[in-house]
Amino acid sequence: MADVEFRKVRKAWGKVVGVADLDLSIRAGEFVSLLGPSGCGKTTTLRMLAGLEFPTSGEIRIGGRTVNDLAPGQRDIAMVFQSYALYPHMTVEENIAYPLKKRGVPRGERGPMVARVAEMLQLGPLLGRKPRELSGGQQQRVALGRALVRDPKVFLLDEPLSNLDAKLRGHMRAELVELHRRLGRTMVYVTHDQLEAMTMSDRIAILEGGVLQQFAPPQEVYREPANRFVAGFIGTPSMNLIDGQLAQTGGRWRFEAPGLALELPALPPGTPGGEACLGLRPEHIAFGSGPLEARVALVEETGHETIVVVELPGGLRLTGRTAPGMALRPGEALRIAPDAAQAHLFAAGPSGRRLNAPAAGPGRAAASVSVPASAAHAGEPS
Amino acid sequence: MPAPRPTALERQYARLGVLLIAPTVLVFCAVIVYPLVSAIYLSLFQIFTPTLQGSWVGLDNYRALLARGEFWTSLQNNLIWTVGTLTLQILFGVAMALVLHQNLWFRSLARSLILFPYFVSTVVAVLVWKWVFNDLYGILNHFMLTLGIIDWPIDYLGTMPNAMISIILVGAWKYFPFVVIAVLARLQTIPEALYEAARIDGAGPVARFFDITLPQLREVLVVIILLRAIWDFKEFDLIYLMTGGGPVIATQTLPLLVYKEAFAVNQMGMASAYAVVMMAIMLAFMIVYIRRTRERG
Repeated sequence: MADVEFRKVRKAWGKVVGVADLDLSIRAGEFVSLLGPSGCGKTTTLRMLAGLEFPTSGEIRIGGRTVNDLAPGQRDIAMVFQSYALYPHMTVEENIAYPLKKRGVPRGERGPMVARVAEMLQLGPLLGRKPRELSGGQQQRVALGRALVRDPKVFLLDEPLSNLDAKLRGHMRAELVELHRRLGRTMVYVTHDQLEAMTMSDRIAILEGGVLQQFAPPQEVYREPANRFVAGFIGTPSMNLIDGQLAQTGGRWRFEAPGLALELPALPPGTPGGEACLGLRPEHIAFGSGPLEARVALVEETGHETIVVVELPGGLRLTGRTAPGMALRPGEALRIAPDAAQAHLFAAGPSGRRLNAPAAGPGRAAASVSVPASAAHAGEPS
Repeated sequence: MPAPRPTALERQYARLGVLLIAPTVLVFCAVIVYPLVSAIYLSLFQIFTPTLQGSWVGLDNYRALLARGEFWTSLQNNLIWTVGTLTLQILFGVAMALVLHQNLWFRSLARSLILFPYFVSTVVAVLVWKWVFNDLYGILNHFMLTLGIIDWPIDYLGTMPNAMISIILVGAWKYFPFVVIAVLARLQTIPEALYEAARIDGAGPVARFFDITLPQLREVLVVIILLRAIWDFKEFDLIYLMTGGGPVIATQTLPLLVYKEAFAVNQMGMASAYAVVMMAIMLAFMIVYIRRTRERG
């Protein structure tokens, strides 16, 4: 078990920057996900930690020791690859025993160690098979077994579930969480799947364009996205992001966009007025009654909920979710009520940093009415 | 259950199919089946080549050839040549493929240049090498004398074992690019992740070669070895042009013996018997090759 630290780590290929001055401290025993879209630098970050890529500058430390100049095999890490990278000509048993063999563990000691891991991952009956005779899920287990057998300080997992079907993925997710709980080892997990990151991690590091956007526990990332990118990236369906004008009149903050005007709860002193971006999660829009006129544009029944896209008179589209069974048809007019108390506010421009403090909690009342004339009951807990 | 009667459309397709393969089958019969059958047939006669007149002798030719020292010497030469040149081709070819698989700045150029020996005509290649090896004015002797490695010129092609070593080396030089291309193609398909996993598992460069590269090359190497063994076994022009089988018959392989018997000794029947025996030996290689490739498919 060891902590992992990135200090001003940068990776560039000529003018292309893969990872830009990354500072990241992972505590010993923590499960951290590196999350982001393709090309965000998450895999590069993991590969630098593994020693498969060399940082252009900066320092990487594992367990307090700088590892920049250590070969992958000397870093006391184990890695599970997206493709599993099982040695095709070796049996399951030989695959799992390989890291032991290369580290000079005597033949007699390898057997019991492999057996222990095989039992943990229920690989016993498969030990004599070759990787090509295994299903995707079984190969995944063998890859995990090869990582586990040596009991390394840090586990690195590079999108290990992306080649599995949806059902198996859910199952393996639970198994990995259980495994982490049991072993208590530091795990760094790369994924582009926010569901995996949200459900498994102690903390999530969200990357975009090689830059760390936010590093926080899953709930915080969801409730308090640090900027516009995180707000739009986390959550399915994604948060509604509305560009408009922010103005203060008589001590009240008000956000206006075509067809929408919202009284906002108090904002921190010094908040600039003018152009801004308002974020509203789909679950924070109530349908059926409310101050705003809208027209149903699209209805998606997913079974356990209904995703509704409505269009405001100004042409603005908002996505919301309701319980299933609400009979809505495209074209139908209805009233909606956005919950201003749950609204997120971001600065205009590329940085899009967060402007407002987070709402107090999930159980907060949808009290602030979004009629232009009405008063917002800001900051009132239910 | 009887098979259902083919429909009109199926019969029409079948007719088209026969029509399309007919030319190939005809050419195949003319240039492969007919010579093969006639060689076996001719081997049962005693035939004077210029007149092609002869008399039936049954299996006498086979009895005679098995009793002749020259046959066994030629077979032995053939095996030494095949094993020697093939071993060098594989060793040098795999090594060169590994070098060319690296990210060298001159990689594309080197990959094209490496094919040069394979594409150059055998006659041209042999002429050049005969100059190099010439005992009177050859450049090899010139360099070795200049550098003081030898005191007297060496006769590379006129004495043994020099002549055998020389043809084995030239054969290796001529045909190793085939190994390079085939091995390189396979190397490029080995997933990089396997090497990365091995590095994390603590394997050094040598261990990675023996634990990852070599097992991954195994299949392609088996195919290369079988194919090249068949081709090297029947090699004629390179050896004939280099040494003509000499000194005396020291580098005479079975194909050279067949040629000599047919066109120098003018015994077409006996030559056919040699050729048939040679074919039987090569058939063994071919059966293994077909088995291997079929398994892979």
